[in-house]
Amino acid sequence: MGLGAYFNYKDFKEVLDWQLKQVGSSLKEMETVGLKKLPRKTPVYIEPGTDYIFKTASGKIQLNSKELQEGGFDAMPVYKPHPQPEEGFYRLIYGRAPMHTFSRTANNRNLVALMPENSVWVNPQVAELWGLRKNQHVWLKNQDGVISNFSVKVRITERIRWDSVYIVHGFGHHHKPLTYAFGRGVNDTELITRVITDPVMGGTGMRGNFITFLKTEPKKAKV
Amino acid sequence: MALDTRKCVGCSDCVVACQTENNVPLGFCRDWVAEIVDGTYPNVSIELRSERCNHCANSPCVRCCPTGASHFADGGIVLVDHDKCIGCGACIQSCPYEARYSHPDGYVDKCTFCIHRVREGLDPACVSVCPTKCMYFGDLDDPNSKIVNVLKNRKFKSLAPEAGTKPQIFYLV
Repeated sequence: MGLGAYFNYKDFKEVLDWQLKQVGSSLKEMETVGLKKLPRKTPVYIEPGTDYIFKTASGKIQLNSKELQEGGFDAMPVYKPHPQPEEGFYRLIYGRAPMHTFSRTANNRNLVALMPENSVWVNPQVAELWGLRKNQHVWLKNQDGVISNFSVKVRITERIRWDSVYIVHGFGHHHKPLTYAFGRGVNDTELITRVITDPVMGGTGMRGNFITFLKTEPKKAKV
Repeated sequence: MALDTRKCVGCSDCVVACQTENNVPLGFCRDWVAEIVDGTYPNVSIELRSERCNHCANSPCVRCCPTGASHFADGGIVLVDHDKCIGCGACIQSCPYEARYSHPDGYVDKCTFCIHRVREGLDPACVSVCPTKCMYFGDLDDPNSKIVNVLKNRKFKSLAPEAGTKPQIFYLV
């Protein structure tokens, strides 16, 4: 590929050795000790009463950024309203459950016993408006018309806002050999069709999707 | 035992640890995590706590057991002798904490505070795995133990005090 000049080593061990030498160790040493703890050189916290110099132009905490202004952005961040849901739609918020690790553990027998499926969290006022009952199965449809593969149970709770719904990420697997995980709950990523990108630093926001509830099973379009 | 409701994140690691340590059959558990939500949005408070047998000093389960299978072991730990138990379920009914279940093998089973580990000087399985270290296990009669120190310095409550069972699990609030 003509990129050989960028990889001027025969064995990757040479690279590891070079990297370790930068912190005062070597591959030979690490192969014998396995784990080496290097003492911290800087304090963990800024002690009160000390004159700390930040790595900014003024040496102080700087909120007004000259670099951003030069790049054509606001020097001070200005609030810009973010897209709001239409009537009948709710912001889809996703998160994690402490017992599961992303979608990796969805097929773990012990952890499935703890939390077999996710549920869609709905504020009681929203539930009353829609006539949703506890543990009722609903299908979710997002603003672009994408309908969830499986149904999900409703959880009515005060822990969620009126304009949002919450589901735990990592469920709704559609791979049949995953015996315990298959078809349990809803996959949030299939409903995330819109990704907002921050124009300044390129961070992505995936909570700008809106969903509505379908109380009866929708007819699936043939793929 | 004391549990810090402010530190608990409700991960249920204690539940899995107990099930693995004590060979609890699938679908049953000796401990579980309760989530108590109070108030209406946006003024909501939430309490998470890991619950299990309270090893009461005045145990209704021990009192009502017709065969003497439920008994007090070393240090006041309430145990069920599986060989004596006839599975009548009177103790399940008498427990205000719903801490007991009927084992598929025909006897009643519950939390033992991992007495086999405690006798070796170890903490119960649930305490030893807690990622937030929100559980404290020790001897309440020992004034120098960590649990006594914690209970001295923090506000705490116990569950269903109105039942008069003198529960030995304290929840730090």
